[in-house]
Amino acid sequence: MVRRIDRDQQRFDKIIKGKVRQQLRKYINHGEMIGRKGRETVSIPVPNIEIPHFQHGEKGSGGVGQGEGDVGEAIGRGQDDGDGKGQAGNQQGQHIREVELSLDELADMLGEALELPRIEPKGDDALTSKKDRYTSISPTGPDSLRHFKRTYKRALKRMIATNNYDPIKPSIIPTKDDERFRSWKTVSEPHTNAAVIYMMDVSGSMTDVQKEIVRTESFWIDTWLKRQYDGIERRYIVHDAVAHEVDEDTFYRIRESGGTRISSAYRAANQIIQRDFPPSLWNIYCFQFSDGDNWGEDNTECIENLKQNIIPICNLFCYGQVRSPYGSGDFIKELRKIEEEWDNLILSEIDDKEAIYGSIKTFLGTGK
Amino acid sequence: MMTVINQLNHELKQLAGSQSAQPSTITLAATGKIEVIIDFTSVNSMSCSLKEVRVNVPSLTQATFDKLKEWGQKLCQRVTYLLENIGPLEYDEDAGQVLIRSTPPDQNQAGTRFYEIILSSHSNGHFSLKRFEYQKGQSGRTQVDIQVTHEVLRKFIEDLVDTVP
Repeated sequence: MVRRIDRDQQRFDKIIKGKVRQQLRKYINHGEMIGRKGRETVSIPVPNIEIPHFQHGEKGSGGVGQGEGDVGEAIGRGQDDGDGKGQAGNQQGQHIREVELSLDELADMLGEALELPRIEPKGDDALTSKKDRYTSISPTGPDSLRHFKRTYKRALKRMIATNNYDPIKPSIIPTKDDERFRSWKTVSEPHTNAAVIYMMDVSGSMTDVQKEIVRTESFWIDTWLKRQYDGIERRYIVHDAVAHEVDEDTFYRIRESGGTRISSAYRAANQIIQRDFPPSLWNIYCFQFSDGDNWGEDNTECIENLKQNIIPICNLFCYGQVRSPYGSGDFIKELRKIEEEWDNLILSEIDDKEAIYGSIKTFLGTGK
Repeated sequence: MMTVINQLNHELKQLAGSQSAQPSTITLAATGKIEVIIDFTSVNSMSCSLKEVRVNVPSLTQATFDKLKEWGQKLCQRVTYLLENIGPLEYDEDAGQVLIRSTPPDQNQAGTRFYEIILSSHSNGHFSLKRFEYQKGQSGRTQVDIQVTHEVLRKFIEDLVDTVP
């Protein structure tokens, strides 16, 4: 039977999720939840949730009194109001309440809001991962894994067999030999995996605002892909004129002042794919972000590298051109020339934070 | 030999009143075999509009990257009288190039305008100044003319030649 408090909790959760769903676009575009990301959950500030509370009556309007005094004696109203400075505000107070949502719930909301199709992984489930499954019983083990039912059953059997069991006054005392413990077997489980390679231009023309946009968009892409695949491996590449593989934290914080050679990032991505992710086994996703200000003569090498090495083995190759204070560069024009040849090449121009929502839909709306 | 400024004055007098979509290119010679090339699109008695200013500096052929950086920094310090201040944005040592742009660019409701200077030490020391415009909603940016008075142009060319390392 469902307890009333559980029912109330479910109702409350439903209200909160409805609020989050209503304002999802705002959360997506402004990245309000990214800094609050936990391991499996995110905390979201949800304003204007009315929490039920007790209403107290007016002071002195009756009730139970305590202390000295006779029946019928008037109760004092306490001290007069203080004469401190300041006036009460005339605006409604802002009530912010933080709620926790799992990343899976968030991904589902994203999918619903953007009407994203579920991804159909390519290839077969050829990859395996080792997992411990508690499927067997062992005579030895730690106390924390003791199987009480089995232990007492064995003790009962033994006591009955040795005629020590009294059904009138049942008392079962397990011995060391009766003890049974849960035990695990390591099994290989087939599953589909995805490798996601993020590439970002960190040259002098990319400012912190552009990087914040990339960060927000990457968070949502990550959330969605994690929901779609059993395992996600991520790699991060930053580049100016030279590319480096870095960790996630560095990816979002680093700033360089070098020139821009996008081909260096493509070479690094190709090396990572060859080294870690055989294309026949992995669903490979590449997401690249730049302001499009590539040094002119580098464009030819970029396009060749993409056509020869990267696009053919990727589920998706997504290029997001983020507008910098100097406008949008010309690299996207080069990619538009080959856009029709490849249905897994997706291009998006991200003018500002408001454009993140549409850009995610463009990237992930293909269902690949 | 006439100074660069005298040559420029002479050319401006010659071109006064001219206006055409096809730029009129003039070349000025300075000491050290420096060549200043200007593509004018129109010139009147007080001001002019130009497509690009280029400078060839043979002495900077295969110069160290530090020299190029030094030129860029000096230039940014001296040239403070254009529509926006300029500052170095990207240094590409491998390509021997320095990218300088308006910092910050001129931004308004319609879009963005900025100067872009590229200094390069490849094959020949080279300077190029252009102005670009980005309009909101458009893909990419377009080159636009640089509008300056004769006086500003004279000062700019003087500073440009003076700062060559």
